[in-house]
Formats: sequence, C-alpha cells, structure tokens
Amino acid sequence: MNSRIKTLRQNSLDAIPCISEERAMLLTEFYQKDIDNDASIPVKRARALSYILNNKKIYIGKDELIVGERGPEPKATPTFPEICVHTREDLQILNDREKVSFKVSDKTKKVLTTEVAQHWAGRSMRERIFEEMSPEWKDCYSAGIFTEFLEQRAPGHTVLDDKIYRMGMLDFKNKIRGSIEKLDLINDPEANNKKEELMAMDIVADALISFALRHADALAVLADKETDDKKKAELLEMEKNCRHIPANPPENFWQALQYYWFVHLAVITELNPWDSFNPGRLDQHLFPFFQSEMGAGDGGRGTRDRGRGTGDEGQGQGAGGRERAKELLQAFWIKFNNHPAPPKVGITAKESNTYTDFSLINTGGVKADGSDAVNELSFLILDVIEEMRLVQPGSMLQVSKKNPDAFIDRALKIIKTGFGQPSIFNTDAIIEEMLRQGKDLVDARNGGASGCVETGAFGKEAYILTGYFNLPKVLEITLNNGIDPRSGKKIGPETGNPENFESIEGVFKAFNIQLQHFIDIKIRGNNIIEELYAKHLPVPFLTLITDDCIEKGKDYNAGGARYNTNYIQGVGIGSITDMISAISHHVFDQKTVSFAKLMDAVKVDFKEDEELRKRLWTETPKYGNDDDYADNLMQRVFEMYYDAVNGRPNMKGGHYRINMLPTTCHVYFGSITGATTDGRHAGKPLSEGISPMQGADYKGPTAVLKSASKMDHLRTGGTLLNQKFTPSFLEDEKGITALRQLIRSYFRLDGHHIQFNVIDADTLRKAKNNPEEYRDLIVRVAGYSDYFVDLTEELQDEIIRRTEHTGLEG
Amino acid sequence: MHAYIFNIQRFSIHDGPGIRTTVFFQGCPLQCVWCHNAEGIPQFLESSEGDKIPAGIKIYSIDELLEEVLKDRVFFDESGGGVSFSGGEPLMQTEFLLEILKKLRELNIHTTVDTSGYAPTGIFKEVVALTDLVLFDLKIIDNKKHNLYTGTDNSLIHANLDHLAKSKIPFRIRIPLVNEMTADDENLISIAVMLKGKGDVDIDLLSYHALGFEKQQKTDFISSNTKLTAPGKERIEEIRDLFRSYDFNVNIGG
Repeated sequence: MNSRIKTLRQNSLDAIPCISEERAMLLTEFYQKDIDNDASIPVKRARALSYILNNKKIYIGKDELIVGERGPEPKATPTFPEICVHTREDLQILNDREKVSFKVSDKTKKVLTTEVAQHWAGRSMRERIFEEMSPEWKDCYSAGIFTEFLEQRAPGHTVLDDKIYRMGMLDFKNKIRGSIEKLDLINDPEANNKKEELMAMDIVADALISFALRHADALAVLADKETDDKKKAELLEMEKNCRHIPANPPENFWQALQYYWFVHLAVITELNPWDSFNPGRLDQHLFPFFQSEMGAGDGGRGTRDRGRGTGDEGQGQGAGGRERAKELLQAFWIKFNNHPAPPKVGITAKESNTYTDFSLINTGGVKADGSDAVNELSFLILDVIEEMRLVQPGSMLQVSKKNPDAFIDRALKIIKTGFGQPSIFNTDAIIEEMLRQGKDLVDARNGGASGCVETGAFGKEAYILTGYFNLPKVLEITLNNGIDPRSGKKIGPETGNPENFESIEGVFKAFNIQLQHFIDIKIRGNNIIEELYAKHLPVPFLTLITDDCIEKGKDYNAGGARYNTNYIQGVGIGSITDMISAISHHVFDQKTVSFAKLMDAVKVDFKEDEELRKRLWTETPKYGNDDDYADNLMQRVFEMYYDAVNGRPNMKGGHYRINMLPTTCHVYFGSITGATTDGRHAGKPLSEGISPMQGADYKGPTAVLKSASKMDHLRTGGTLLNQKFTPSFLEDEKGITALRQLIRSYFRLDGHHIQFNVIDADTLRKAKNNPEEYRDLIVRVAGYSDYFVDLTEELQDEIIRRTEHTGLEG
Repeated sequence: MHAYIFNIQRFSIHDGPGIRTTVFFQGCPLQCVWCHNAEGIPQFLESSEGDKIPAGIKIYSIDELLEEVLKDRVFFDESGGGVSFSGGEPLMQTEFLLEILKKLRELNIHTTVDTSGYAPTGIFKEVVALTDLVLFDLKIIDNKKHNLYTGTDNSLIHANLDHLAKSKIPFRIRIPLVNEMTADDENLISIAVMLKGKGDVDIDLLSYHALGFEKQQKTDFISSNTKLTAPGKERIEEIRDLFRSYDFNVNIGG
C-alpha cells in the first residue's frame, strides 16, 4: 500500500472508539422543535433523518479519498435513544469495561442522561418491548432460553444490490412520483398510508443529495485553501463527485464507491440496524467501472488526469488504472473500519460482543445467468483484503463449482497469514436454499451471504434475525421436568421425571414438547415486536433502496421488501448432540450409570464424581467424528428444531426459517447453563455454530466435515463451521491444495460455509498474556473476525482450546 | 479374515496424491532404531483366543475396514486421493492386504502401499500388482549396518526393489534421514548408485523427527542408547542436490 493509505489506515487503527452525543442531540432537538404534529410517523422519521444529515458536523480527514462519517469524526459512535436510552450506569459501563469499550466524556454523559433521556424516557423501543412482553417471555429471556435481537438494535440484516449504480436519487424520486400517481385513492384503503410512506422516501432521497452537497461545499473550501496543485485538483475532483452523485448515477469507479458510502451512512444514521449495511457483490457491481478505469472506453471522463501518476509511465493505462482502483478500494475499506458497531449493553453485548458491525463484502459466485462471476476485480479485492488486514469490513468468498481453483487458492494464501478472512461460502448451496424458500432463480443468483453466514436475496429481502435459541438449555430444562435449575423456577411444562424415561425416545419426546413451548413464546413475542417497529420506527431510507418497497408503498419494517424472512438462530447443536449421546450410550445402551445418578452428578457439577465426568467426556460417541451414532442424534435434534420453526408465518407476509450460528452467544448461553451430561462443566461455553464441541472431535477435518454435512444445510438460511489449522500445515502448496480440496468436498456435500483460523495455540497464549504485543492479531471468532486482544478472557480461552487440526506426516 | 491395525489416519496428505486415509498395520519384521511408529512393531499375527491385545490395536474385518476407509470417499474423488497402507509392515498381513487392495481396485479407489520391502518375493509381487503407487523405503546399503540398525538383512529388500523397478508399477523411494545412521554421504551415494539404472526414480527425503523417539522410549520395544538427531535444513538441501546430481526427482518431505 502507498504511504497515503498507510497513514489513513494507521489513523483509523489509532482512533479510539467513543460515544458521540451529536445524533441523539439532533434527533431530540428535531422532535422537540417539530411543530407539525399532524405529520405521519414515516414522514416525521424522514424529516428527522433529514434534520440530522443537514445539521451534523461534516468531517473530511486529511488525504481522504472517500468522504463521510456517521459521527463528527472517525469512531465517534452515536446512540439511538429512540431505541435505547442509556442510563448513567450504562454509559459508565461502556466507558469502563475492559473489552469493546467506548470513551464517554463528562459532557456527553451529561447531555445523554439529561435532555436526551428526559425526552425519550418511556418512548424508546427497548422500554416498549419490555413493557409489552409477557411474564413467560421475560422468564425465558432471563433464564437464557433465547436472546432478543431487537431490544437495542433495529431490524436490518440486509444488503444492497446493484441498483444505485444504475439509478441516482433523482431516478428514485421519479419512481416514487410514479408510484404516488398510481395510488388508487378511492378503492385502496391503504392508499393514504402508502402515500405517507412514499412521501417519506422522497424526503430522504433529497436528504441524501443535500448531505453530499454539504460535503461538496466543504471540499470546495478546502480546495480553495490548498496551495499544492495536485492536491487542489484532487479536492476539486472529489467536490465534483459529491455534486454528481448521489443525485445522478455514478460515472466512474470513484463516484460509485463514494455513492455507496453516502448510502451506507444514511442507513446507519437513520437507525442502528443489525449488521450495519453492506455493498454485497462489490466485484460484480463495480466491474463495469473498473473496466473503464483499466482503459477500455474511458471516454475522457476527466478522472484520468488526476495527476498523481508516480511512475505510471510505460506501464500503460491498465496498470495505472489498476493501482488507482486499488487505492480507492483501500480508502473505501478504511471507512468501514472507522465505524464500530453501535454500543451494546446487557445481554445484547454478551451475544455480540464486538466492535465489528458485520459488513460482509462478497466476492466471486455466479452471475445472473448462472455463469462464473469471478473477474479481475475479484482478485484485486483479494489483494486489498490482504494488504488492509482490517477487521472491518468483513470479507467472504462465494465459491461455486463453476469458479476456478486459482480463485480459492489465492484466498487461502490470505487465510494462511492467520487473519481469519475471507471466509468461504458455497454459492450453489446458497442458491438452492433460496429456491427452496420460494425465491426467484435470478434473485438467488444475485444474492449471497451477509452478517455472519446469513443467506439473502440482496436488495430484495428483509431477513431478520430475531434472537439466538439455546438448544442445550432446553434439554437441561427437559431433564429437570420443566424447571430451570439455575433459578429453581418452573418455566417449562412438566414432561416427566427423567428417571422414568425407558429409552432415549422418552428424552426426545419430552424435549420436543419443551422445544415447541419455548419457540411458541419466542414467536409470540416476535409478533408484537415486529408490529412495534412497523408502527413506531419505519425506516424510509432503507425502504427506498429495497425492492419492491416503492411499488408497494410499504416500509421495510412493515413488509415492503419482495421477500420477508424471520430467523431464530439455533445455538449449541454440537453440545446438545453430545449430551443426548451420553445419555443414550451410558444410561440406556451400556447401562453403566443410572439416569438418577447421572442427574445427581450433573446437579453438583460432578464435584463428587470426577471419574464419571471423565468417562462421559472421553467415552461418549461425539458429534464431529463422522460417527453415525452421534450424527444421527444431531439430525434428529436438527429436524425437531426445523419443524418447530420453519414455515411459520411472520407479521410481514413472510415465513420463519432457521439458521445455525452463534456470533459470541455460545459463551453467554454456556455461562447460564449448568453442567451437562456430556461431561461439560457448568458455565463453560457451548459448541459454536455447527462446529463440534471444543475438543470433542479427534478424527481430523474430513470427519468434522462429514458429520457437519449430515445436517441438511439446504433447509437452513445459513450454518457456520469453524476449523482451525496451524500455520505449519499451510506452509507449502500441498497444504493449500489439500485445503482447497477439503472446501470443494464439503461444498459437494452441500455444506454452506467454512472458515479457517490459522494460528497456533502458543501464539494465542502469548497474545493473551502480552496483549500489547499482539494488538494486530486477528482471529476468526464465529462468522466474523476480531482482534484477539479485544476478546473476553473466556472467548480467548475457548479459541485456544479449539482443536488444532494438523496433517500428520506419514 | 481379520487384520490388526493400530491406527487409521484420515486427512493424510503425505502418503501419496491427494487427501488420503492411511491404515497402519500392526507388526513389522524390521526394528529400526529410529522408528517413529515403534508401537506398530510387535506382531499379533498368531494370536489365539485369550491373548491379550494391547490397547490401541483394533481388529478389523475386510468389511469393517472397507466401511471405515470409504467414509472419506468424497474427499478422495475431489482430490485424486485414496487409501494408503502403512505400518508396521502391511505385507506381513498378506492375505488381508491382498483382499482389501482387490476390493479397492474394484471400487476404482487409488491405493498406495508403504513397505520396507522385506517380504518374500512372491508375496511382494502379488501385492504390488494390486497397488497403484508403491512407497518403497530404502535405508542402509551396507548390509552389516543394516543388520545392526534394523535387525534384518537387506538382500531380500534389494531383490524386491529390482522386481519393482522392472514391473512398471509406479513407485517412490523413501529415505529416512537420521544423522547417525542413514544420512552420511557414504550411504547416500551407495543408494544413489544402486538406484541408477532403475529408470525415472522419484525420491522422498523424510527427515527423522524427534516425536518418534519419544514414542519409542515409551514403548520399550527397542532399546537404544544412541542419541539420534535429524539433519538440519541446509544438510537436507545438500542431500537433495546430491540425488539431483544423479538425475533423480527429489522431494523433501512426504
């Protein structure tokens, strides 16, 4: 990377995350000043966003190529009081906590806890939600049966398609006008609501244009003051960019990136949707601009003479164009890193304890016509990922059977540096998953995965994650006849004393009843929360850019998207399989321990029977070893979970689906789950994603992949499999090739996703003890990468423990 | 028909092409001082009822072993891999080995056999005829030293290698490098001279690793007070160049 990018990158790494009161203040000011009390909620929300974008501080960093910040400066992170009002204690915790902290100045603390808190108290979504939830729901929530995704962050979980590269905001406005004209104000009882929603969209389209123009003005001032001719020309070019887009569609690579970035900022300023936002298939969307940049049909657009040519002479336009495209992409990458996820507290912080905000750039896959989509830009993006080594944005490789091996090998050479990115996804499986959910083939091909591993039709789908679901905890409650042993409270139905179960069938039968019970409670709560968002917190900007909201005149949060999917994410499938396997094997098959004795031992965390614990831990057929005994049990749990959730209607006209991913929730869920029948001690983390329980697999990676593939991935919306390799394994080409073949084989078996941590345990231990020396060490946690030293101690320990697979020499 | 097997290693990538499953047969006629699989040396071939089989050794029928190795078939197909037989000395459990090789050939699965070459020539011929790639270990040319460090005579080994070289069955020569026993110039040049004239020979140089010695001390099957060391990186490269000067294809590691 050149010195400019190096400096920008370092500045971004050095910036300390802090809380900014700017957005909360502007929002509060707007609602206090707003005199038009008759305006509809969507229009008010639109005006509020417009007010923020028109009044927030414009930040332009020295030497930046892509401009725009959500806060007044990099990593100055706003709060969203309409969703969550932070108390003095919350802010103190954010400031003081060791990991994922945000500095909170006294001034900020004062503003947020006085003016802001006074206005929003009783009106915030978080308060509304907890007010509306039933006592049963609250019991489950505090027991750790499930988490609630939408209590501190808004629905989002979505990705942009290619539409902004074809349409400027003026085109969107035209489309809105057309839709308003078509409204049937006589016969459609919804017509007025639709009109309000469409007007709201129109307001935010204008807001984005004026936000860009404010940047243009600031750039003009800077250009005016600049004495260096080259820099002046560059600032003027940037000014020109901000005057052209977003009003009009972009004309070159630079404008395309700048346009996306403004859109991104609007989405994450309007509300704090989960997974921030995401440009998705960047190598596809930008490819036409990239080709122009490379010299083919440049057509004198005037961007070529930026005059920073250092030794471009003799390389031809192509090489210079490539370098410039790379520099712009790198500048774009840094913008993501400037934006930590909005601050989370309480259980939400536990389930997703990271600065990462899950923007996942997709590379590769297939085109709309189904052909190989890998292009030169795909490879350039991999170069950028390798050089930037930033946790944000996340990156992934879409691998179809049609994509070339060289593409995977290139990515593996990045992965082997121990950076945890990119993760690898099976495009062909993703497409089949979407077809099964009833999506159009072309929409499926144009989609991919976002967040951690979630399958989605980009630009056309609201796929909302509603909360993690603790499968082992439900079994724990089953084995305690409906009582949560941690609290002693009865929260599930009475399904029988386990001592009376005559076979493993009894366990399954009771578990299934408990499972249905808790899923029902979760969905009943979700229905209320969905309606709260639809009513109180429409998102006209996200709506504007999601198909088919303009046509329908409906908000993203109210079912405006073409596809509307809700997820409940299953956690701990490896753990629960081992728990059931231990019961089946030791109690019913071998009869070496009675159910009563086993339960007694579990109750006291094996304090009096370490011998039994060891036996359970080491002599149980466990998931992850390609052993049908355990894997068949996994399949049965999976099928029960699938049946309990899949196909149930949500409030947006779509359906519930399942996916299997944990972020960091397996650590939290483990902490509230007692000792388990597989010999796991109380409080220890559960298995993550669909990976085997840490240390349970001992037959190598092919066995893990075989076990994992016995789950029907195609009936999920994403699964997460984590594999760890030591760097020595990947030293030579043979290791790289073997790993690629491993990936191809797993995908042949319809595996959805696999990610690799390439690191040795000693390095991790050193990093844990001397965090200062390992600031740059990035590891794959679960669906995302993070700085190792930023992880909690438990999570650090867990990553150290995860089985290291090394190829043994013959 | 049963076999005594002390380990099955999936995802082996150093015992032939692609991703492989390596089956380690129990029992070896050699007792190499440097053996890194020394737990595989003792034989239980004549085991009758009541004999205690040590922990770690499993008895497999043909069908059971076939089921186990076929678990990774999708990986074999994807990578051009297959099944490797090692040990111990797989040829010592002749009938079983022949049968499983036959079955795998019927299923069109690639096989390798890693052998010391110490087996009656008739058996050796039968086995290699059913094998896709033979990994032939060559250790010490001086017969006296060979006897001293491996406990066996090497003339049978050399006769079998002659046969293999003439048979047109693909093979690779594997040379374990132990400073004190095999990695001296005299022995290496003797190997090179012997291999000259055996056509296009591929050589794998396998560096002795200390892991074997630790395991060996634990198993007690071989006693040796000699401290063994592995050649350093530069020495291995020297050795590689030595063999290259004889026009062999040389690969460091398996």
